[in-house]
Amino acid sequence: MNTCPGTDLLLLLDHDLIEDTDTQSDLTNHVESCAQCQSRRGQLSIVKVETPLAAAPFGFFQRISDQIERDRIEAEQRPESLVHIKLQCTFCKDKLESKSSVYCGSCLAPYHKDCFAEYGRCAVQGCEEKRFVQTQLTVPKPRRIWPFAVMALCSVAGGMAAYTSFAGDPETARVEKPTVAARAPIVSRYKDEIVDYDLSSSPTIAMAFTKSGKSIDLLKEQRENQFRIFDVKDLVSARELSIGSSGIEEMPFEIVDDASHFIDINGKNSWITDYLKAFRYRKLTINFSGTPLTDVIAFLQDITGLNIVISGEVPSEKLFVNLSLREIFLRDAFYNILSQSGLSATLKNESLVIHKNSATHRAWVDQFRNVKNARKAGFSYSSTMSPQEIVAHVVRETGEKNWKKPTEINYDSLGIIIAKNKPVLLNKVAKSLRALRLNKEDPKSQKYWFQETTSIVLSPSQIRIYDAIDLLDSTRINLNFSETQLKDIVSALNDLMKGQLRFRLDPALRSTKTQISYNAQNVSLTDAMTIITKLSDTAFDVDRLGICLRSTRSPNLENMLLRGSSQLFAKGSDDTELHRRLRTQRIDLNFDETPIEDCLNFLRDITGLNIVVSRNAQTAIRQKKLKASIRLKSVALTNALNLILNQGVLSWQTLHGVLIIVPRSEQSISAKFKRKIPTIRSLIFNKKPFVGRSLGDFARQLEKATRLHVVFPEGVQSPARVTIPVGSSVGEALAHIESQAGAMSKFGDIGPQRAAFVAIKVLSKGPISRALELRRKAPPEFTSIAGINEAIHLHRMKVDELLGYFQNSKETFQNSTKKRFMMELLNTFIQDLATANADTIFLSEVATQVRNRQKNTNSYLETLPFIKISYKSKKDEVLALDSKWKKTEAQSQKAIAESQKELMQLQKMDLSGLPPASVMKREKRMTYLKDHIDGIRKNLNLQDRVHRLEIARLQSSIAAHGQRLIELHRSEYDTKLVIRLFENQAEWKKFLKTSFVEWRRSAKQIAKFQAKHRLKFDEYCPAKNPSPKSCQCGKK
Amino acid sequence: MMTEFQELTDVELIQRCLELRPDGVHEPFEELYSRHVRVVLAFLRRLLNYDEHAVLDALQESFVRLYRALPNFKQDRSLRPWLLTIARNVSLDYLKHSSRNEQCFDQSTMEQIAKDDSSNEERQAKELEEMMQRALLSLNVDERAIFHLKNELGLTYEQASEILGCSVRTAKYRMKAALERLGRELERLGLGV
Repeated sequence: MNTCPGTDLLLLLDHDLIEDTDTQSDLTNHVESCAQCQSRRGQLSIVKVETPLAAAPFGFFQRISDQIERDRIEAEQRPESLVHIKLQCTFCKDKLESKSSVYCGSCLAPYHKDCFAEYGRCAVQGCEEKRFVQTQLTVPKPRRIWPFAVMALCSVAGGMAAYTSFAGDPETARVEKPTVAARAPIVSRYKDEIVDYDLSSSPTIAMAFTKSGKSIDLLKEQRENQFRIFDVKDLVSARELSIGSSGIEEMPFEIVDDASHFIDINGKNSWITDYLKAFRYRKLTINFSGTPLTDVIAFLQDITGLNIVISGEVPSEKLFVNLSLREIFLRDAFYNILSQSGLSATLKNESLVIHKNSATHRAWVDQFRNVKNARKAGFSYSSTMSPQEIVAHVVRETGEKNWKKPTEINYDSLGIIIAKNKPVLLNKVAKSLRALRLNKEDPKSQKYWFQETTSIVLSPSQIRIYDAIDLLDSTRINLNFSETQLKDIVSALNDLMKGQLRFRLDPALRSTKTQISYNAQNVSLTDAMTIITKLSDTAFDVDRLGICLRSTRSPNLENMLLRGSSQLFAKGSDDTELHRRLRTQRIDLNFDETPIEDCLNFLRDITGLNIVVSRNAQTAIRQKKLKASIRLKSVALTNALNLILNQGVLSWQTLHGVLIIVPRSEQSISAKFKRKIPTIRSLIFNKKPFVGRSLGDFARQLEKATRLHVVFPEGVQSPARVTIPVGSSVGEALAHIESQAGAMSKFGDIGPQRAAFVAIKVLSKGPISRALELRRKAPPEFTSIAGINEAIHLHRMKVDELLGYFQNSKETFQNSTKKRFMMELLNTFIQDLATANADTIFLSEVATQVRNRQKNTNSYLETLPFIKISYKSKKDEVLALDSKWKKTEAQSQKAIAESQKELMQLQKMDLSGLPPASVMKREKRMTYLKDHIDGIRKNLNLQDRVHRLEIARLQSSIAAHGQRLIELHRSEYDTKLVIRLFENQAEWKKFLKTSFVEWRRSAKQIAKFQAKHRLKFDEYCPAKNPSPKSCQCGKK
Repeated sequence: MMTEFQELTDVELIQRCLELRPDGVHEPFEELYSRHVRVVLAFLRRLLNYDEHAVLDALQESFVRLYRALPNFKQDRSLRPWLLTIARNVSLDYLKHSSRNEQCFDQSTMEQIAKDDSSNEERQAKELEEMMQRALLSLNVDERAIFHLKNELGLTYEQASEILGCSVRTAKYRMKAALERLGRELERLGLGV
């Protein structure tokens, strides 16, 4: 630490309050070495000095004594009250006057208001209550019970007494035995405004909704105006308590909640059950044309024997019914009659009461006068809100600022809430909606909810479907097919849509030779697909992956699942039957400027179908005076309807076996979802949270719940417990699995014999072979993936795995050139595609090759260090030999030189005057020297030869080592190149994405790719070329 | 008598008070008072910023409340923390109801120091002390309380937290905050510059 710390740090250091040990040690070291800091520290030592305690003023105790005495006298003189309540503040233990006292909302411990506010919660151990109750000594005015919240809580004196009453006149201070309490002043203030309360978020009445749509935070109001709020549980217990203690027989308050149409107000359900039986199971045929509503209701009463009452605000004389329905359930008939007239109904007092739609809400509000029933019923708030109200509620719940555009959340004519492009908010929206419709006590109400007002939140995959359908409708194209096969049509469509929408062919249709001719200009894709499928006797489905053309003979996923679906959609089979009739029944038409209504009547009579014209459609027909002029022979009912209604204004849809004519704008949205919603809805996975320990648990449950065939790797444990929220669709459940358990799921396409197939595989964090095990377990249908796009997707995923695998292993591959390796991969891949077994042993082959190579190259890795050491030692040995030789040679040369020198001297010697013996000696010496020199030279040559041989041997060995090293370097380089190639994922992926389809057709492209990536491998040698050359593709 | 009560423990004194209670205040309570008044006074002075009127009122109120609460005293706990708790609550009540939160530090004190004829060292010590007192006034009630209990009364964090009605962690946090603020204030006042 270079700079001196601040005074605060020095203080903290002195008091050992620096948590970070490093900082503490730095500071300590600095202070010890810094004179200035030590001086400051000395000054700061005053902080720790204990100041001497000053004495109190002399005689102060007398003041205390006097005060205590005064209190004692005062207490003695206080009159004795009838109700002796000895109150003491729980917090400060001071005396407590009942006027200013407040009581803990939970345990009723008394406090000064300030003390409670100061402490923030109840000071009683174990009681964490933060709310308090307060006494108000007022005389309650008896008032007509109104659906607002009032509470009286009484308890006998002896413990704590706290009772409350609300009244319009808080000034009266007379203490009386608590009786029926009046309404709270706050609700009196808003009584004309408040229509309902929200109990879904809090058990207390925290939020009230007013007529104007403004919400009032009652808690806040109560705090500011010092009113009370009580827990509902307390209310119930208080009621029981109050009945016991003070004789209050009627619950002096009301909690209002809401429910579906059919709810009993007195907790007795038996008459409702009987009533509903008739509604649900009785069928009838009706034919009303301009019949007043009163007559219609009278008719229904006569034939059903049920009590039906029209409430006063309904102008029954002015409402007329135009309806002709055959063999329809009473409930549906009733629903149609009421919806046509904009009415609604409630079961009450053993009768069905018909209200106006706006009045129904208030009627239900009035019904709930008993909190016990409300709690028993457990209904949540306003489950019969209009879609508009639901949307507003959802937006409020999730935060208005989150919904920037009104189109991001909207509803359609069926009351379906559509939330788009808000993946983050979907859970909140779903939660908000589920809270609206959930009824824990009565599961039947859930059914009502779904039938009457449907709200679903779309998951991202569902939004994709929605967008796909939207695209189908909005895209207009020109098509010109002449004797074209289906697969070519699909290819053409894919090319046309350029990835915006993907079309694929069902595997069962791949081999079909059906050819169609179709020529159309500026048609929507939906129409085009409809025509194409009609002409080819196929059908098309929209799913997450795009549009799939399938054979009509293969069972529809929708139907498959509907059969096994939950009770919720039992009515779906009627629609299926209706659609079948519409498709199969043929009719002749001959209309000439015939009003649409007459055309529809004709269809009704001829076909016996239940056709209903919605109000909006009726209005449209009347306004635009629509007429039809058509002459057709033997045309399917579907087409007949389309042609009759094809005025650009009207369309049709089915609901519970009834054909409903609606304006086209309504149908465009609802029809999309009518087709898909049952599928999506019926894929509701669970009605309670799923928590499992392994993928196996989830897979088994999924199989059981949805009758899908699920394939998953056995024995694979998910990293953590998997939790799936209630009400998740299968798609959502799988998404949860994917995110929580690191798995990947795939909906397989359906085959002709099997149900839909789901594959769950664990992402290959381990060996690739684990994924392959899964593959081996898959049924045969799954191996033929429906759609090239799926194959691409899967392969791309697998290549990523492979790349990861190579990158992480970094093993060397013996004798494998990049080219050969690539060839092998490519060949495998091509073969894979050619056989349309896109998901077969591709990875296993590659993995096997890699493993084999690894085995062979392991030995190289082991010997490499030894080779390097041996290489070095040989080189050292050569050097040693060289130096030794040089020394030897030098010595020999020196010896030769000396000998030669002596020889020279002897040769130059003057022999005159030398005795003959000396001359003989000189001769002998000269001969010896010559021999010696020769001998040395010979020896030297010999040694030279030996040395050279030795050097040559060593160098040969060195060369061999060097070669070995080169080979190892080479293979390492090879590996790096291969890895680098695979590291270039972009090119590989691009190659996969764009090229492989063409490859199937042309081997030339394969060769081209090979040529592009060929390496001049032989040019690399570390001894010759220190740096590797670039390959032709430009990579180094 | 005083000698007799001086030998008794706080618990025994309280028992004696309760025995003699109906007849008013007695010597046992006076003994309790004399034992603890200085500590409570110093504590209240620190909390109420040396507002002598408020301090004395609070002191009186604290002991009156103590007297009233004697029957509720649990014999297994110590009297002083309980008394300090009552004193703290009384001072908080006072602070809440009173608008006089400004410091009552006597400004003339510094002038007195300037005129002081004592030696430089003594004057410097006095200056430091006054600086410290000024700096302490910058702390809020909770910080002053924990600082006083910890520093001046030498209590542990556990004891201080019991008096202040918070956790030990909170007490340490408040102490840390108090020291940091104190340090900054001292620097501002010129300590160590």
